[in-house]
Amino acid sequence: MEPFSIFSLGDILMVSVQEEIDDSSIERLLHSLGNQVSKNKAKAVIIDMHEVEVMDTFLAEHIEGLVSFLHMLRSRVVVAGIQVPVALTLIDFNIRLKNVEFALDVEQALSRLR
Amino acid sequence: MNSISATTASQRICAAVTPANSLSRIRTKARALFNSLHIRKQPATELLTIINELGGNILRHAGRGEICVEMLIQEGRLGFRIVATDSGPGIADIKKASQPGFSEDNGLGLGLSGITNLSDKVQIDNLLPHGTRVEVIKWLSP
Repeated sequence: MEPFSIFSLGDILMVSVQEEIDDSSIERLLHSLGNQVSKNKAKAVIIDMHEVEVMDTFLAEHIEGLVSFLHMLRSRVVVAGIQVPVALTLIDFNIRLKNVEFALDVEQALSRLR
Repeated sequence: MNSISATTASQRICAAVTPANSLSRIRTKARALFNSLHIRKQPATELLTIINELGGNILRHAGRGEICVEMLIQEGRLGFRIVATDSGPGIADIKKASQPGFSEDNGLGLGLSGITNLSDKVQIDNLLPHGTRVEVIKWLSP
């Protein structure tokens, strides 16, 4: 089973990411998302991180890459559901995830995008 | 003199880090250890992030290796020693590798400096004839 899943909510795509995501599955996620964004003409993508309990620099790097990729496809991206201990640890690691829009949860992300 | 005493074998866990099992084994074992010791969520997240970071380095630079996590007690304080070993190419410049922004593969370059920020001691040694051993000690606040 892939460590991610993609759902379509009209013109918004939602990607649920699990922490087991690695270098090879991120490649498959990029391909899959690229296809779905053009097929569905998605105006926005929500990346739901609420299941992720550990975010290291490798995962942060993948998320930054994913967001840049989606910006190139003219999609708005909102990263939702980052847990408080994860956010605090990111600060300790000096990881800032620049140019990324955040929401507390998927509900907040959806209301902002609609 | 401060002595650090390791506790019984049940409070030390080890797991191989390989491309096949990735980091899932060590993560599962470490989580179970922290849960059994009722470690709070914030320090547990920090410890798991250190383990992930060390494991990610093993997978990217050496392919495979091992991580051990051991509980420590010193003067009533609880801490953990995390040791990551591999038989990869080693680190050419250990001092440089610990500085923010250094990356051998164009990554974020924040890994080892991030680990330093989150822990009390980081010791990196190149092993002979090849390989790397990284030892991290983190004490928990009471």
